[in-house]
Amino acid sequence: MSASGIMTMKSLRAAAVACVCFFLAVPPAFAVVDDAHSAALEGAMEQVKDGFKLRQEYWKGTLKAGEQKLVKHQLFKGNQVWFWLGTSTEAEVKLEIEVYDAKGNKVSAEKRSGSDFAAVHVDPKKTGTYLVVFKITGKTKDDIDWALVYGWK
Amino acid sequence: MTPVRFLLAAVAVGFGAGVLRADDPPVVPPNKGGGELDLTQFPGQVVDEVIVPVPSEIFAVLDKLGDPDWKAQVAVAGRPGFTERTDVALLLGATVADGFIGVQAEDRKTVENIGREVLALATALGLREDVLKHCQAIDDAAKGSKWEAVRSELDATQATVRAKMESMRDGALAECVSVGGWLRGTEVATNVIMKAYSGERAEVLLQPDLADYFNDALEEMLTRARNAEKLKAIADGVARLREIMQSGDDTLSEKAVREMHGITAALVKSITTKG
Repeated sequence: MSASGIMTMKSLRAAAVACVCFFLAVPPAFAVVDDAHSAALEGAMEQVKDGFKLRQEYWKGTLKAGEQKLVKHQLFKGNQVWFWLGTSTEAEVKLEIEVYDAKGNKVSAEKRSGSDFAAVHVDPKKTGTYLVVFKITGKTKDDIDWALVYGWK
Repeated sequence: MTPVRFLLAAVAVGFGAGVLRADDPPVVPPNKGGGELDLTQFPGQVVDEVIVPVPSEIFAVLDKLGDPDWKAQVAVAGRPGFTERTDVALLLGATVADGFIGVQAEDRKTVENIGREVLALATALGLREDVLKHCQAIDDAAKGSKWEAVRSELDATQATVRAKMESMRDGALAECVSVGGWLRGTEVATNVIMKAYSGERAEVLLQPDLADYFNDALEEMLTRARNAEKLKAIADGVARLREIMQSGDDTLSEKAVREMHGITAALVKSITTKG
């Protein structure tokens, strides 16, 4: 191997270490490329152009097809909110997301969806705790990754 | 226990799932909620007990309360130098909230000072490098009176601190940051609402599940805290705030708002001064 080749290898390794150090130095939510998160963000683009601010932090995990998850959220009357659920699975799946008030009444106002995301819009009539319920259905038996982001205006 | 917490506790008991403890005993027959979603039969997992909103969300609502005198709400007192990490984290949260108040007041000097204070507090927690870029961005945005950008950076600062603390397995300290900010924000919001009270304006204060969540976090911290007395007082105050939030029927009276203000002002004083 030539000297320049060795230098190249060293440079590559140094770059790789620098990348790892960089990723370790930032908070976990921003530390890795998360395809499910990217799918949710792509789903959010239209509303972001419409003035919705995205929260940087997001929630993520895996679930089995048909399994439901629930997130509790404090919402404020006067703030419109969109929730976007994304996945990176290549299996054929359907994403579903609904928002309920504390009494279990559905309050979802509008929905959007694509092949890898589903979104729901809420315009809360009261300030209080709301329940965001979501699931991903399909024939796959594998774990399905998901990410949930939200934005408000 | 608030109604939603109770319902979800019942779910956790029934399905053995979620973040709530399965040994939370049902006290009364479960309320099915009366809606389309029967929470007692929810066959799923609770991902997060309650998502704590970022300050920007709350201030976006406060923006709609007309045009209060935000300059009068700006904190002018100097901040003490704490060595105990819990004290520093609580103060950091309150200081970030003061940054938001400075933005509401469009007070450039205050916001620039807040940026420096946030950096000093983050340094005391060993997080200087993590928040440095945010503090510089706050300073730049304040100099240009770009108030939305300042808000975003203040949110990002708090998120970065919380994420870093959680990655260091110090989630309790992260909650202290949130508690400090929430108390200072509530102190100011109650004061603003009292100046021109209406039930509708007071609705923004209805956050019993958040109060419950913070109270639980503080109670947990008490078991290993060095300054247990201070944390106990804050936990008791937060518990009382939760009671007040649940005392009305979806509306907080003027008297209730005044009591909330008294409690939060006293707690913020304990956070921002050496007693």
